[in-house]
Amino acid sequence: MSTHQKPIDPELIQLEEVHKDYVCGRRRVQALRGVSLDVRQGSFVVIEGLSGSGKSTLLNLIGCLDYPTRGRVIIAGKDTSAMNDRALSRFRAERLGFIFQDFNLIPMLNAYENVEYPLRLKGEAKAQLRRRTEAALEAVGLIDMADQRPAELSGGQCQRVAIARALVSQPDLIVADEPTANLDSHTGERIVELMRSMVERFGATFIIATHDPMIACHATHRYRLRDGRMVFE
Amino acid sequence: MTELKLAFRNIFRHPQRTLATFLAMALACAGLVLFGGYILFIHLSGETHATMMVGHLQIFKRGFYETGAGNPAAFAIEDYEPLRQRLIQDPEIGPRASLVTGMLVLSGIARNPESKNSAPFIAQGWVPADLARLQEWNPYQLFDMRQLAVNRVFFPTEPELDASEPKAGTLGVGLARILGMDLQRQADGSRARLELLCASPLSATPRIGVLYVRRAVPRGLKAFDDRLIFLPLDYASRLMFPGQGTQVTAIVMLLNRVEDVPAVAARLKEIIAQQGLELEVKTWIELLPVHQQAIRMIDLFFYFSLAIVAVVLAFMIYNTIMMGVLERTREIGTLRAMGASRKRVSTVFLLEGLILGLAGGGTGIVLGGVSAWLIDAAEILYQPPTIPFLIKLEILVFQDWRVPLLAYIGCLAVALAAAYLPARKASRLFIAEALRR
Repeated sequence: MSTHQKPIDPELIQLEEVHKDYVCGRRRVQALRGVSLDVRQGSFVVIEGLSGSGKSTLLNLIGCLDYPTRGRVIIAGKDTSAMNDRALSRFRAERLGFIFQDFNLIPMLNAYENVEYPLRLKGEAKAQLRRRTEAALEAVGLIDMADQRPAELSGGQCQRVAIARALVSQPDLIVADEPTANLDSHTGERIVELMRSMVERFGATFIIATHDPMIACHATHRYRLRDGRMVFE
Repeated sequence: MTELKLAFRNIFRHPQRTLATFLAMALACAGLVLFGGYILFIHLSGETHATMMVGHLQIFKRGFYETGAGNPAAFAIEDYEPLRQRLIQDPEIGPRASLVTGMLVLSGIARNPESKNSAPFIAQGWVPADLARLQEWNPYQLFDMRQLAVNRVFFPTEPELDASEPKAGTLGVGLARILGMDLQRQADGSRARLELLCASPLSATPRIGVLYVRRAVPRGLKAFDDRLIFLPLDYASRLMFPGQGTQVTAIVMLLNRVEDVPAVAARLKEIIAQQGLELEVKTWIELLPVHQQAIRMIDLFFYFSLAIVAVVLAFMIYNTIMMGVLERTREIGTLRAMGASRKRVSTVFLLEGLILGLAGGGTGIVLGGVSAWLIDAAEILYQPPTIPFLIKLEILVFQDWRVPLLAYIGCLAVALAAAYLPARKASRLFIAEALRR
């Protein structure tokens, strides 16, 4: 993986008065109520909040996994709220990376294949595929376990593979939902350090939803959601 | 590439479930192959037996087919031999024809001078060698039922007619019984004889001839058994048209390939129209409509069974793939989150269906082939309707490449069609929702 910094795109994420409503049976639930947010490139942003405060909904919108009911979500200058499914898929493949609480590695692919997959989605050339996949695994210290399937790896190793997978295509933004929730404190700490080092090495931007105070203390920016509204700290 | 890898590995994720689906697919395909091979056998053996009876084409005097039964001799084709030669030498017909021969139908009363019994008969006069050729017709190399010991009574070693016995013929077993024939040879070696009384179009008085009986032959249908006589064409013609050349009521044609029937029939009609002849042409299908009716009924039964197998198989594959979609919902969400398009996700599940189809179908073809071979080795005999002798059940799996190919393509199509809905569902999952599972 190359270690060059990304060119500065100051406002990587812009949320403008974003609302998200869900219909639950006959009830309408307002998960987000007019959230506005600007995130600069290279930030290590932490979103905190109680369960049901709207953290995951916010990450889904920033991660282009869902559309807002109202408002605009602009990532790297593109209004993602106006994109169709195909364009969003392409956008996610090229510009975004994801880290999940449960790692979400594909169980039938080994570590190498899991990390390689985003590059395949981007249509990278074969020579590049190998070089960048190995570099990503090297960066998370798992090059020797490239042939192992997720079931053969520990939780910490799985999350490191997930981080390598999220970073391999050098996305503008990495969205992480509770990345340390299923890890012991020691492993969690190492994962946070790894993510933090990726910001420094590659200029990656992280936006993380978490309850974990250890992550929060590494944040360049911390935001708190309460009942679907942003509370700035 | 990754989609293929994922599909292939996911197939082995639940070996028992996959095995059950794979076996269902293989058995269904084997069943299709066997049934298809049997249907092909029915088609080919039915066509062969029909052709042995009437040839591929017959040319009659106009009106003979509808009204000739009342006085067949009145519909004789007088200039038969020149016409036969003309057909053999025709550049479009000659190379396609295996046999062009004449047949004379006559009717009258048969009387056994020993028992004094008499009965009405219908006779066919054939050139002995041509009749033998017709009866040995086997273009598809089907099992020769004359080789079966149980059929020996139907196919004695000697032919039905023999040119060296110009006045000897064969009777239906029913007619022999009605006439009280004793078919044992006399002490002097002579054969039992019969008197034939028939109306000639050339004379006001009936013609009487003597027919030596070579043997009684089961004809399969009681109507034929009780009335049919085969005798040499020359003798039949002399009986009906004394002092004249050989005349026939039909020119019978056997072609090298049944596929040539329409082309040759069209050419015959063209010649008839050009020459202004009072003749008409009938194909074997028109002469034996019951054959086509039976084939259509069997085909319908086949298609019905095919539909049932396809539906059951489709449900099984649908169920297997849908279980995969439900179990891997979060995995699908992850793929989509990483940027996999709907098409890529649906491709994984379509490929799973395709792999099951390819593997199950391929195994089914082999299984069907082996089963067909075992059935062939078991020598299962049966008696089809309207045929007096036993025939061997044959499953023609590899004689016609269309049987295994269509079964295989059919299985693949069912597998893909059954995988389509689960694949579509997978590709349209709401990503955020899928990730929460």
